[in-house]
Amino acid sequence: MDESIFYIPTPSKNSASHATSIHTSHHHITFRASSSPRNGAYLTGFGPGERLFTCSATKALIEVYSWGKEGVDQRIPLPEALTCLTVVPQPVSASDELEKLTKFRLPWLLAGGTASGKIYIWELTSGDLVSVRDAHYQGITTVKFSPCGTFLVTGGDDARVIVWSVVDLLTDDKAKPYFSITDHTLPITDLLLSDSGVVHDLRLYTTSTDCTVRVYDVLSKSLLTTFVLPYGVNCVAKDPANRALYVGLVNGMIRTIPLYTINKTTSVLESIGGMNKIITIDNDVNLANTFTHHHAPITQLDISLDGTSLISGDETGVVYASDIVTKQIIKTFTKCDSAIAYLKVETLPKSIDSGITTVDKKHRMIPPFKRVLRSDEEHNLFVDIPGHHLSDNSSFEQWLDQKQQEEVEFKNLSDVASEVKQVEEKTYNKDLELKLQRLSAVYSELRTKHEQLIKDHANLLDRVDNQ
Amino acid sequence: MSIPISVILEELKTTPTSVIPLLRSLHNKTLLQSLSKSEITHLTSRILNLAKSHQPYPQWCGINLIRVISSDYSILAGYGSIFLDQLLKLVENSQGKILVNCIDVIGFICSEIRGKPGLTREILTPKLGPIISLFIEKLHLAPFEILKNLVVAIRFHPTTFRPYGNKLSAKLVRLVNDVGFVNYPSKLKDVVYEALAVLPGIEKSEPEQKWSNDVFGLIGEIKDVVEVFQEFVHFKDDQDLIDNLRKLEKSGKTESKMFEDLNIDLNSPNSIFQLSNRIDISLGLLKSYLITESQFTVKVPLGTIITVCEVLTGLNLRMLRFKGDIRDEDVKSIIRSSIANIHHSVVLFLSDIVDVYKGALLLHFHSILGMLEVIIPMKGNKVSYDDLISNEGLIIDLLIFVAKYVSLVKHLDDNTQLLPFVDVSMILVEPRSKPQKEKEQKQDGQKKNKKQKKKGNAAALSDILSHEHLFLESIPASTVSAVRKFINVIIKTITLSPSQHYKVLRYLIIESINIRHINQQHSVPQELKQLLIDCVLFPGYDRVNILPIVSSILKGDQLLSVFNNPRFPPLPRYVRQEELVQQDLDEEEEDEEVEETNDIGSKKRKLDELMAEAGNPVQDNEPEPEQDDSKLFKKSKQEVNEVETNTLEEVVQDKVPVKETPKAVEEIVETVSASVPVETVPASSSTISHADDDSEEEGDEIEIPELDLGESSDEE
Repeated sequence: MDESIFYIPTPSKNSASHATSIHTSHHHITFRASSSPRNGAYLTGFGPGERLFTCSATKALIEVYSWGKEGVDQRIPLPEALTCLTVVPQPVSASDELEKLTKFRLPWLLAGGTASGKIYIWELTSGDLVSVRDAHYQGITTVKFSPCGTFLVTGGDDARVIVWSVVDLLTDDKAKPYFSITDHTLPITDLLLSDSGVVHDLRLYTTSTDCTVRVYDVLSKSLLTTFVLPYGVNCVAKDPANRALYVGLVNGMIRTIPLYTINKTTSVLESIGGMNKIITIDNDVNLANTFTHHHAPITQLDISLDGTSLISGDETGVVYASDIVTKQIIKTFTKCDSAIAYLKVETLPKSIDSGITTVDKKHRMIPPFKRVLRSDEEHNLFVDIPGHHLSDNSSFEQWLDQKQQEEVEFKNLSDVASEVKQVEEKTYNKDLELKLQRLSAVYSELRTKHEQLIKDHANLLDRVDNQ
Repeated sequence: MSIPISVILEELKTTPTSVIPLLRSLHNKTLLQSLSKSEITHLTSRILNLAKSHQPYPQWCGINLIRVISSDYSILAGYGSIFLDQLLKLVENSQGKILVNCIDVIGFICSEIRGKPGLTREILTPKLGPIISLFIEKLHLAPFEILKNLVVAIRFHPTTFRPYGNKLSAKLVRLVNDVGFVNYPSKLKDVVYEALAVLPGIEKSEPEQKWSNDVFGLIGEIKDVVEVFQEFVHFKDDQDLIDNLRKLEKSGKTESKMFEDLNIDLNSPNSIFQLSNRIDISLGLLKSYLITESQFTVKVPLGTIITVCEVLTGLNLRMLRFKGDIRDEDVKSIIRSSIANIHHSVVLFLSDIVDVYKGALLLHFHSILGMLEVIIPMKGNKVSYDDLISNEGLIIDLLIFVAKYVSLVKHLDDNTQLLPFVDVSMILVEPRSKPQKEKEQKQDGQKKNKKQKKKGNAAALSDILSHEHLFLESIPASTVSAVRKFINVIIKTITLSPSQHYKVLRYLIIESINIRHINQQHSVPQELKQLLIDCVLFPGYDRVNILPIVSSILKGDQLLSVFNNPRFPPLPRYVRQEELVQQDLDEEEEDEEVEETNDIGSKKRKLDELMAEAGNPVQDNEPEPEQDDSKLFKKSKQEVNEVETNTLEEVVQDKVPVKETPKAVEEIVETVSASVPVETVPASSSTISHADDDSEEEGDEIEIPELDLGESSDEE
């Protein structure tokens, strides 16, 4: 098992994105000449068959990189340049049997926001443009899907955050936003949706340069908590067990916002926030809750599997992994020349790069994106139909059981041990048959002779009579 | 209980009394590996002798013994070819059980060889051709087993299979065209469909084109069958149906028909069922094409396929009138049930493809739910109870599909499209007494009584009168299970209307109380338990919370315990409480420690310098040598695996006691300093201002209380 990060910078002269292990010196891959605007990239995963999608703020293009190939694999032209994008995997249904990984696999949807405030959604397997919507009054800065794929959230420079129901966007041309948030006063910088098994617990964390982090309950469409920070907030990450928030500030600091605290008067552990409370996070003079090793505005944050290391990237292209407890740097990653635009942490099995790699010999491209909205009947998917991931539960014992059953069918379970001996009977019959044949032959011979004699005799009598 | 090899050999001299213990012993890998060369020769020759026998039982023993010993690589390498020869001979001359066993073992040996290049070259490649041709020849004797093996052969050896492709496809088409095919066991039908669906894979060039042609061919044939219904009903009543048919006309080009022409005669109304049977087979085949694992990228015309479903569900007597010349009631009712069969096929078809196409089908969310809604039998504005019960199988599968489909979305704001299905599900689980009919029965009672008395059947009727409860129709288990699955998805996804919500809750609570009462353990089965818990987790329209009721029904449930004793997540504990207590002691020993860790001190200094260069205040480094959890991943393989299972808390707690004595602290610091210099910090860290640790200290001392979170908005 290993934990790896992927990071990609904003465009610069020698921009390149890297996928590297956090804990070892192993380097997975570098995608050359790859860059994206902030929140404008998405890596589907680590390993063969996975892809990196990046957009460009200046060119109406999506560049696709395939794992295992350093250069651009495919350039997909778009109707309009995207400022940010995100991708969501196929939704999971209740009765899902596990499927085998196919060599050619694509996620479900790709959503992008533009500088004019439009959202575009394409279905990747068909390339169909499934939705275009005027969403924001100014440029969109970030788009995110909820982990379950049910909601799409967009945040823009117009300080608004809009939550969309994905099914509505896909099926209804005039779908209204599910929930529109206008609490922020300055551009939205980052969005975070919690992973929740129960959709009622889905929380939305929004950050903005207006120095606030707001927490919303998506289903009840209510504001739970507002955290007011001393500086503008650029990005946010969350403890996997929901115990703390980590926010990257424009002054290069990362603040820990604990979500539980001990009430000084009652000595009881209490959760912070809720009920539309406004909580002011004061200047941390003692730096007990602050990471200070960055010297430029933080642009991206993420957290490790066990919630003990924080991965942070800043505007100068520096990426650190730091220990949350000691607030010390664990690892410094290869520096980029420009701001970190996107960061992803994933835990991987050991075998990802070693051993048999299932590289696709016949490399296939993503279907080109359409420029006009899809029509219902023209919906053609390009897929490798996956097989079932069979867990081999046919054990030898089961097989033996079955054989035991079959064996019984060969056995004589009645108390009569009878055996039909056909062999002798047949010979006996044959003898008789032969005898019969012989006899009948003799008999017929005899008979014809007898008839002949009678004829002769009759003739004789006739002659005598005549005479 | 392994039998020694000498005994096994002795047993195999003649036909063994029972082969099971031998199979079990020979399955033991170590036994097979420990055999000497001569023993192996003996063993294999005796087993082959058994297989060569003319009696069925020794043959059967031999075949299965071959299977067991060919799991050993060296035996397989040495004798695999001979085994296969013998098995093929048996396949040629046997039938029934022996044939099935032979096929099974040949399949097993092939799968053992597959993937090993040497063995494949030596054994499999030369034998595969004869195996395939023999299998195709014997297809009629054991179709299921043979097709299963052929499908694997096509998938893994398309090139070898190529010469036999046409022969097999001809045989399969003949099978599919058989009049009784629709009544074959579904497993066999599925494997026939699957075999046809993998066949395009053997095409040398552009298998995807052949695949696509086949799919469009099927679509065309379905369209043709639907058009036959034009003879019975007025299609012009439903413009959508005509439009959809026109769409299909454009896309479905049939070059070569797979199915024979149908012969429908209104004078023998039974022949009308051929229509629904044909649709069932075509959809089954289409489904196989759409879900069978493909070795190549296919272009799936999902939009057209949805249109096909729309056309088929559009055949609905709620929308279409019978033509004037259809007067016979028998014919009408046969057409009616034939259409119901078609609807059933569509629902099953959708249910199968939703597993594979998931998100892509969500793009057709409203049209799919819309077309399924019209399947629900209605009388006026109400669901027609009698029609519902008589088509129970269809309705159950409908609910199962809707549940599967809707579960792709985790939340739906608009519940209107799903409400009819909820109504139907609740009707299905209503107690099935039919008061009206019983009354009618009672009214007719006298007539029947007389008749039955004449027949001398009075006793039977008296049972109906005296033990009425025995004659209440019970709800089939499959219905109950399907309805529960459906409800489970629905309550997670949408907010039901209050009346429906209470209906569902009422049903669940009454059911669970009933079932709890009648079992010895007084517990609720898993399915209901999950439903009740989901009701708690997804409260929906809930003015009166169901939690107390569910808690009292499901006593001792782990998840509900967390609900009733709400707790906060365990916070990370970092601070040295023992140190605080022993602060005085520590202070005394500090000087020593600093001296002892002199080399670390120098590194620390370097680190400080680095930090200072970087413009960082030194004091923000809270040195915590023992908190280096990040090392989880740095340790050697085995260690990492162990650590994975530890929770953070355990990791931390494990390390806290180390601090109890200063000596222990020193040891730790030394080892750490040797490996990871950057992070090493002197243990004297305890001297660094305690003021800034206030909150953390408290966090450490106080145990997490069990709070009543009932009012905390954050958790609700």
